Amino acid sequence: MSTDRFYFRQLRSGRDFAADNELAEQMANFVYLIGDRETGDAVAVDPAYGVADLLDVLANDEMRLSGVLATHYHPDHVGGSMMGHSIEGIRELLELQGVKIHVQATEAQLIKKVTDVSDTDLIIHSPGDRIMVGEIPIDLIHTPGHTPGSQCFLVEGTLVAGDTLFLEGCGRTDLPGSDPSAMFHSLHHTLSKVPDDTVLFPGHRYSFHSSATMGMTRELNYVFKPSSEQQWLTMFSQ
Amino acid sequence: MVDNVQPMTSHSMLPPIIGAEVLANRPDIILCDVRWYLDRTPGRDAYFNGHLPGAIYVDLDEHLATLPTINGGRHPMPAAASFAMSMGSLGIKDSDTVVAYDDTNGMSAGRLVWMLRILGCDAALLDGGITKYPHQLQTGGFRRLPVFRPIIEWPSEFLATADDAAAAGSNEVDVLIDSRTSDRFSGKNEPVDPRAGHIPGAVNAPFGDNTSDDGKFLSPAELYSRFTEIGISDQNSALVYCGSGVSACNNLLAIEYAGLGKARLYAGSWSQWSRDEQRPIATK
Repeated sequence: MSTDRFYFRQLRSGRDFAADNELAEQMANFVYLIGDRETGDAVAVDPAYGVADLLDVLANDEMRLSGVLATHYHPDHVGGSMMGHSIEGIRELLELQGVKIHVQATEAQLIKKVTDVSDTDLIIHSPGDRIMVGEIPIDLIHTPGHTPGSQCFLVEGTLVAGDTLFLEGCGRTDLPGSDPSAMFHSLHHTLSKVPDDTVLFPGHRYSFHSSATMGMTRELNYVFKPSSEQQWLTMFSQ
Repeated sequence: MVDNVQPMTSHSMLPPIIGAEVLANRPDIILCDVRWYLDRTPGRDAYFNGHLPGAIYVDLDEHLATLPTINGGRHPMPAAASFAMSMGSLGIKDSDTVVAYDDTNGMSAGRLVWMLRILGCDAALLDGGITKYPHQLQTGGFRRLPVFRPIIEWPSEFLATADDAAAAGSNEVDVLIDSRTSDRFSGKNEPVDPRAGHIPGAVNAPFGDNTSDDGKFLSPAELYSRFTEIGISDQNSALVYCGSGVSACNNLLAIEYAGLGKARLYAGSWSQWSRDEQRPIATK
């Protein structure tokens, strides 16, 4: 696939979109737009806070939204109510443009609950499914731990990891639905198959850099230091 | 498509180093302030206190390098995708023309210019930097709207490894250039890295010697003499390093400005080499 054809944007909430939204700025979420410039199709990963802004970005780039990928159900990623705030998300996006939301099967009920979208809005996936945006394949990697149906997306040498993995640290495993043991397996087994030169794009800007290779991340991120599940659970179980 | 209806520009590609007079007729140029200091004084503070009108701040650590590692050096090259996202977030398209500056004779701004130029983008270093800028400065912050920027892989012919540097220092063809000051080259002083000295076979060409006492670059003819005297010619290849792959870019741009073509950067530089106990060091 030619690099000219691969459309990939990393947008930080409160800065690159939803610029007047204080919560969006504080949460420092990343939304990703991924597409095929030749066909003009694009998907949005975790659209929240300012969905009209995101559609404007696509329109300015002469791309059209053909689907949504949800890494997990938390309202800062898909919209809903959080900490007394109402966050715009996939429900509001669907009112503007009728597309399908791609979710892991084990996350579907949770996403419906926090966003009020319906069964017909969702496309339910199994681990290892592949979807196409235009002619660009995106692999869906099920990485439970932060939530039961968390997923990462592997596309054209980039890994969009949601809250499964940050450059420093990983998603919390002390929340309802979290599972520290599953997180160990996701990070140390499932994602170990992702090549070192793949570039990690996380769900939040929690570190100085906004992306880094998986090789660097494995070398530096403390979540890769425990060598056994027992060590991991000692470090990360509450 | 938007790209197709943009008017064709009549501007040719900039040379690696330009004077401030070029800016007067080029409102399309994106000015980048890349001030950065080895003692960790925040360059961003200097930017907010006064920068060229319309300039944006580019952070060497954040935008022009990836995470430092013990074995990989202090300023490793970012992945191509990371650099594309950084430039896109700063509002710099691959078709834009960039002029970068600092206040250290092009020590840090050269890195941005060199990175863009090896990707085929139009970019130049501002001769004299902000210090010699003849007009009034602007205070406060300024930012551009983010843009989409395609991922372009780093061309491997311009990047060298530690093994490449070792080979360049020992063969008869290549010229291995150390861009640090002479006291660090000779091992008399080493303020940052664990071992003092240089890579065996390297010749010392401090980047600061590319400029004269007034902070302006030597002429291309003078730079040609400087670099041919240490062995660079049309017939061989130069490989350049420094402390962490930053000030070496100043030499790389000066070599190109002299008409000697594009040379290679060993980005790991002394910060990587000196931490590898297996690598020999020289002090003479």
